[in-house]
Amino acid sequence: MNTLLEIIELDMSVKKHPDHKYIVALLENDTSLIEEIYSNHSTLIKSMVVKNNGSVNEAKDLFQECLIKLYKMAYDGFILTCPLQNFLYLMCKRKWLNELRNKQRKSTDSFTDVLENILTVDYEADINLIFHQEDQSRIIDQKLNELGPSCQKIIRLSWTRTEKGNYMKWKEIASRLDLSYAYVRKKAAECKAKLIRLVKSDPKFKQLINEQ
Amino acid sequence: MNNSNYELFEDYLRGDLSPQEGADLISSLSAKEKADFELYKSIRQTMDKDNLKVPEELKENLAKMGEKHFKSQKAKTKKLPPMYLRIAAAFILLAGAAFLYFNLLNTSPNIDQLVEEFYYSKKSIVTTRGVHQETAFSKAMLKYETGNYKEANALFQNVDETDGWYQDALYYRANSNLKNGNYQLSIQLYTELESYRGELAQFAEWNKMLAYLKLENHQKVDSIINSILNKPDHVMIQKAKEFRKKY
Repeated sequence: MNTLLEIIELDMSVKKHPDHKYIVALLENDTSLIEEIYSNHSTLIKSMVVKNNGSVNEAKDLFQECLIKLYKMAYDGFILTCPLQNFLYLMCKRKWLNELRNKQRKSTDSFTDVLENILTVDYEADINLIFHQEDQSRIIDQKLNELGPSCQKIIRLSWTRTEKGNYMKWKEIASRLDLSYAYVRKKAAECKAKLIRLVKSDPKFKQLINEQ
Repeated sequence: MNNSNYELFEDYLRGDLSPQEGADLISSLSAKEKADFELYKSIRQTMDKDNLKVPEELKENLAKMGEKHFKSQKAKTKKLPPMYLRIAAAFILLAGAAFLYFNLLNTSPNIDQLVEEFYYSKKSIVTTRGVHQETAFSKAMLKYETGNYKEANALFQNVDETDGWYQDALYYRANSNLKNGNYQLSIQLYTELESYRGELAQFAEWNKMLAYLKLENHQKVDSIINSILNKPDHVMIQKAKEFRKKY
């Protein structure tokens, strides 16, 4: 099962859009290009949120969250193949629809689009795939929270990367939790088996996997 | 499936196995084990992406630009009408606002009102039975019951894990943090308490929901309320039904 980003990487015919420079700018924290992102696109997102039951402040947070999501994708090797405006708009729209659904503030059927013809473009499917990952991650997090505190700590630590980007060593995890190395390894395996059982039994997760 | 497989999966995904060991592992798996491995790999990749730390400098930069580009529009300055019209307009506005507040807006409480209304703190046996022994727990409870939550929090931490009052201390410490506005910490403590099960765990679940409400994490609030409503024996089920009507 390949993720969207892997699929994009595998496809050698993928061509970078000139707007890809903004994706690189996020990785490099290039202030002047990030300023351009805000100048060129903040009004559109503000207008979309405000016309759909949101405030300017919520639009600000949404825009920032989308840029952070883009940063994470960029870190993972994402290549922008379409204008940033379209991609950002669809991303923020999808995120805002989720927010509205969660807050039960408005029926999402009556969403007012502010960018015309955007729904027909074929990369909306890509955006859906990206959000699949977010939905999956939410379910995994829920299931992790259903495990006991010690299981949660061990699993989270075993998935944590250090500042150098390496995974935390088992010895370090054991010493942090004041447990023996052998016990931590055994317990981690038990907890992970339990987590997989919980995730597998979740109907929403199954649905997400089938939709991919 | 054998749990030890997960040790090997983890070693493989961390890159701790040699290419040969990795290939041997994969070829030794049954079809079902392979499916479990793929699922575990996918879960791990998802969480890996999710856990990626965003540099603080970038976050600060984005926050600064957000402040600059997402300002609310200021009202345009217009020439004011005569004074008597302004007074009349102000009066009408005030009357309208009062009407709205008492007749419409007041029927839908805000988050603070909801938390205030639905907050629940179980009475402690220490105080209801008048036990006055000078224990770490009773000292902390005295502070808690007089509303000194900051000191109570510190004192509850002195209650040892082997103390019979440890779970109660955990509960009241979480409540103290909820009252003090330390919502994340209170959630952590309530979650720890939930692992002990029993009535106290159910009280903890309820107040954890209120902490999420304070953080405006409506998804979590919904999920906890639904979970309580699905348990007919839950000690807070009546409260949950009342809450659902107002939320």
